[in-house]
Amino acid sequence: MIELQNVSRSFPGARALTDVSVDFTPGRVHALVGENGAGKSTLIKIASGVLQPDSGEIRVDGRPVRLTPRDARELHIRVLHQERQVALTRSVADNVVLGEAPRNRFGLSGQWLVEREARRRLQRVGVELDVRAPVATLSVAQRQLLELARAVTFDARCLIMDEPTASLHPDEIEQLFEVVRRVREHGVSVVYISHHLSEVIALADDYTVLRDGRRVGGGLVEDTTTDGLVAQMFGTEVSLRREDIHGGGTEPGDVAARLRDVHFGRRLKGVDLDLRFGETVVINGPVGSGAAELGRILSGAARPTAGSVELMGKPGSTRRRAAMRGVALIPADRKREGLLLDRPIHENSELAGDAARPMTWYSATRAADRSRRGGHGLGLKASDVRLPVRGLSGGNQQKVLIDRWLRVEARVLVLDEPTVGIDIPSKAEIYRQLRALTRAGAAVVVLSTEYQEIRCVADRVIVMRDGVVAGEIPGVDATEQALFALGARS
Amino acid sequence: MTTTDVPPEVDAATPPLQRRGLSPLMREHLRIYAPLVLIVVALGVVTTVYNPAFLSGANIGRLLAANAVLGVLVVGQTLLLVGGQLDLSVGSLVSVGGVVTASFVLHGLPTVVVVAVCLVAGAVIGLCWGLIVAYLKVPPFILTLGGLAVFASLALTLAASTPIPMPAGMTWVRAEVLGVRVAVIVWALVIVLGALLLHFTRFGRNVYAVGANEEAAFLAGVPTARVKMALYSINGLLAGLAGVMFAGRVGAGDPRGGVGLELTVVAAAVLGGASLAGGRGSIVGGVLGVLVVAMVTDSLSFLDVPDTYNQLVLGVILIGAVAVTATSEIRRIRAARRTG
Repeated sequence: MIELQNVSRSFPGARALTDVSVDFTPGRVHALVGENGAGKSTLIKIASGVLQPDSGEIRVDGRPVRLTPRDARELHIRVLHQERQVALTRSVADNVVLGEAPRNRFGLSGQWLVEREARRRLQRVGVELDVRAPVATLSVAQRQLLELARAVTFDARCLIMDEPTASLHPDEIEQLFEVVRRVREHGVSVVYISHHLSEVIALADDYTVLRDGRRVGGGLVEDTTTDGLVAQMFGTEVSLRREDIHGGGTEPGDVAARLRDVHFGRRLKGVDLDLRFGETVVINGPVGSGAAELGRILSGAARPTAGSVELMGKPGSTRRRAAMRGVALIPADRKREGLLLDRPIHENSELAGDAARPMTWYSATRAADRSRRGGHGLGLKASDVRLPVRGLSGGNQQKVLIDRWLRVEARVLVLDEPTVGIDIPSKAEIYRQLRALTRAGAAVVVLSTEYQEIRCVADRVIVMRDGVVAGEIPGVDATEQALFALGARS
Repeated sequence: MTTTDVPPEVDAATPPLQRRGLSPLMREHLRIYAPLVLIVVALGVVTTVYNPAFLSGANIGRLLAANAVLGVLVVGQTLLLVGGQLDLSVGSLVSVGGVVTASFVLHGLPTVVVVAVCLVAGAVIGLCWGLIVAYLKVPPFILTLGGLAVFASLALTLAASTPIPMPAGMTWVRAEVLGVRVAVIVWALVIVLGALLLHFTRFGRNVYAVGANEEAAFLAGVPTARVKMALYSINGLLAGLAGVMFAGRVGAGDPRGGVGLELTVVAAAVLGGASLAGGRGSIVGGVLGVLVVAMVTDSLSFLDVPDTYNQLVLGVILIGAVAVTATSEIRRIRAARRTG
């Protein structure tokens, strides 16, 4: 049993936690909810010994302790971070036993000993993986299960999971939940942090809501609902319902992009698609269905192996030409594929413009001014646009990326999972922004697996399965059941 | 640069998106420059106290002229490093450039032609590096290390392993205009053009973008392959120019003249804040890095320190500078996380 009592912590210029008390009980999943900056990260850093509280007490089994990262490890408190830490070139077995390879009575460790031990551990938490496979060949989800198995079999008593589902698709999430439930049965206390409140409802036993560094609610998950959680998180109701966001559409105009019989290796097998100005098309489909590849091809970032792509009546070619014609691409992995993390916000929001006209003069002052105007328009929250974009929250980083393409008056926008890891008010703002763009005549493509998102923005939904279009549903009728039925049919 | 107009209707809850004063990026640059300027000034003062001849106009002119070759090279290398690239072949290119210059002069070719040939040949070699890096995805370090070896050998072969004297050739490099050596004027021009390109054109922003995150830059529409080819070509051109200047300064084509220059150039650029990981650095910083190198070398000889210590002092300064940058970087990232 780990208890935090009246814990406070402040940073220069900001108070991150004020008088927060929370207990993590063995054999239960405890969800921490709150929007970005509510103090969740600070709390888990204190619970894992990375940060010391300014005041308040941490008790482990009733005994007050002063935690350092090393103490936390000795007390078997483990944190699974968003950035996963595995040795890519080694096998699954090597990773499972990393740092504590089994030894025989001569003190030697052999490959088959390692594999046997790894198999035993994976079985204990119900994870099925080939222990000889190199980790580099595993999917993100499998890597996560691997890490989970590793953490649990280190005899973790408290397992802190920070946004574990950020890049998983629904089947994989269910698999992860199964493993977490099994872990719980072993008497581990699990601390679960997620932006997806439906996951919290499905998985957690207890919850604590943080807002502006204070505990504003908590209790048993069975006594609450997602709406209840949202109300506690923001103090007010933030709606993510179609009626409040979609706001109707216009008559779709000319064809913005036309795909005919597009193939991409074995990922896409003959896809036809017409995208018109003035509509939002959601492409739905799990990893491997070809949805992501379709997004890449629409934006020119990948070339189809067969078939034709027309952008605004001209054959599509390279990513650069597509970008010059006003095709925006906002990738799912903001940090790796979208942002220049250490460059100023204004350089990030100007990048498409800079790329389009390299042979013109540049003034940092004027670039910053344009960025401020753009930022105001999108409700960007930052103290200075000349600071590195790294310091912004996910939602604000995404606004910078949207601003980047609004600056060059992009008319076709391809967004891959645009609200992954983003808090709910920012989500609502981004959805409204996308709808406004659509009404203003832009063609918007959203690759999404999040039902709420699909409901909020879609004029029509194209469901992908195994590299082909499984079917199409008007946005109004796109219920979770309808989408599932279409995607699962075989 | 006009003062910024305040956007209308900003309510108190919305952050202004810009504070007063210097930009954080500019402050970072100044933090890098300050210790370099300090080193240069301190060495200058100490050496002058010891030997007043150091701070004479003639000596400063000589110091700058002696380092103009390095100074021209550092501009090209800084551009490359900011773009996440590297060219180690410049040392050998300077040697080859010098040898070619001397032998062409001895064949009686006019100066303009010789200079043009060297610049164009340098640019073409650079373009080849660029093509190979951009399209064959060969790591620049390995590629240009190979190039370094190839051109070192070529220089020795062309010159039959001995310097080619040309006492009457390329004298313009040593000439003075209004009391300033032409080499120094050329260096100054290169600095100005390089700084304009990197800091005052959108091409420069593309260079930073490619260095900071190539994938993101590509997806935003930056012509990453063309940017790389341009960078290597510019650097090759400057290496050709440096070869001519070198031959002109020593009055001969020395096939070993450029040995080791590539490392000094990279060291100077890194001293000036450029990062081997790309996306960081400035022309002014690189030039300050060269001045530090020049001052250390020169003042040590004025202070009668045996020149075997040169490399030691430079190495210590480089390690110190990189360590300081690394720690301030860690602090900066932590601070950014907190405010996030």
